Amino acid sequence: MNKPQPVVNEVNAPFWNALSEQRIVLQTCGGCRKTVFYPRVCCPYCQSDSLEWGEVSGHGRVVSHTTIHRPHHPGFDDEVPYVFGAIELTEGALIYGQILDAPITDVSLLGQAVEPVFQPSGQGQTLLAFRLAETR
Amino acid sequence: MGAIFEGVRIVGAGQAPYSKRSGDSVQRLLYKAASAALQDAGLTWRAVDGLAVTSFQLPPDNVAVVAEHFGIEARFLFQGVYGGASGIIGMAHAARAIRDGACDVVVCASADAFDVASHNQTLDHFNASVRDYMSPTGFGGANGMFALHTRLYMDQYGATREDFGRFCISLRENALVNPNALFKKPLSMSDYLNARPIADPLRLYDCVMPCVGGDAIVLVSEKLAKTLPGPSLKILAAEELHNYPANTVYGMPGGWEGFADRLYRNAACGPADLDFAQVYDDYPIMSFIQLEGLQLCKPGEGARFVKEKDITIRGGFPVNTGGGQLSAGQAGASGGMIGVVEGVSQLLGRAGARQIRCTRGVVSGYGMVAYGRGLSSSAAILERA
Repeated sequence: MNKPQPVVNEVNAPFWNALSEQRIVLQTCGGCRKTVFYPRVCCPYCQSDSLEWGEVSGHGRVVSHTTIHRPHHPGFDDEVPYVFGAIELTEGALIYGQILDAPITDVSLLGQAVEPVFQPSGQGQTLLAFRLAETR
Repeated sequence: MGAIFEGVRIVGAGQAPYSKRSGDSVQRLLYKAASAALQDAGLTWRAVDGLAVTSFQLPPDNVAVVAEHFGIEARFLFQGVYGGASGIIGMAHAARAIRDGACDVVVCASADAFDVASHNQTLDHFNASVRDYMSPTGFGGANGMFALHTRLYMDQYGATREDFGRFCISLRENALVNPNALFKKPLSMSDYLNARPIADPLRLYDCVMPCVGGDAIVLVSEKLAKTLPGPSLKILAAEELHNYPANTVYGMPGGWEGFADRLYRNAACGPADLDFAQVYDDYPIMSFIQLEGLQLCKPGEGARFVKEKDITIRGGFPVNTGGGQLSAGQAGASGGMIGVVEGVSQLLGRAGARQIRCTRGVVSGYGMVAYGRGLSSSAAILERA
């Protein structure tokens, strides 16, 4: 079963294209210097349209997490249970992704350091996932 | 007091039957709910000159096409695009239209015919940010998103699974005397705690069951209300707020805290003057955040409020007196109207076996799940005229 895919367009193409090259690029506002995610046409903090793409580390910390037992799409049925989290990147953006190799228990991962993993979706589009930094 | 919606009355409420499955189209469900509400008010379709409709499954139709389908010449139309916040927003917009003399009789109706699969399919394409940055990563749908919020709340305030369980169990108790609620058996703490895991810390009974149903109310001018046989209600105040606070994905905001002061000031009453709350209970976590945002208790004290007050229909402060979405079912966009219908029925004195003593209550809505949170919140204070 195919998984749901993002729609790549003129606004977000740099983000998705970079992931396929195993790089993470996010927008930074030339006006207020804030990091912006998801990709926008203008800065949601100051409404300037001088957004610049720049590479970030993809390192961050776990803001919250859940173990998915019942996925939202049949494309994930064979992968449950898996851990999914909200990650605050060191550069300041909040981004969602699976936390690979995390324990499937009620153990709290809040605040734990994570690093990026480039996860092939099986259909061409590389997705951003994470793993606990300590597991390396 | 409450002069904002001067000259406007709510006179009826009704539902289409709730079911797990049905062959009914959303047009038929909207028609059934609206017809029940009109009958409740003592009105016929002939009087209707405005419609406020919210339904996720209505496209490619829209509210103008619903007017055409039903044969209504409409002076006012509203279509909710704010998910579960839409019911109350549509009611407020309709009330302004009646107040300003644009129309006299508005039916506000919501309906959908969901099951788990179609609910998930709708949410996967709810908006571009969910479609592009949530769904492909395996976010687990609304269950996964609200699991993240639930864990944060538990960590921040020390709330426990039992605290959320108490809320769900109380709602179930209320549902047992609601013939249109889909859950018919009592829920024990053991049932709740040991239900199958969905997206931890959420288990089965934390998650609404997508279902088929419809809900509607009828608003009229005060002049027309006086010609009807039954009682009527005033809207003392209503508020909506979107994307508040901007650029905040995490934390515990839901939007209600951004307008609660204004809501009570406009209604010329306070939380202590309310007899019930009908909150948007897609998950227990959002119900706690609403009780807190609407100042019924302090931030982080939702669990204590539920425990100390007893929110059942026999309790000190009843909440979701019909069982809410958690025990009646979530018929898509109707989730934003089921609490309004329940609140109106209670205040009109037509809640049957679950009738509580009440003259004034708050109803609240929440919706349009986007990047990590719902974007839209709404609330209104209703009072028996």
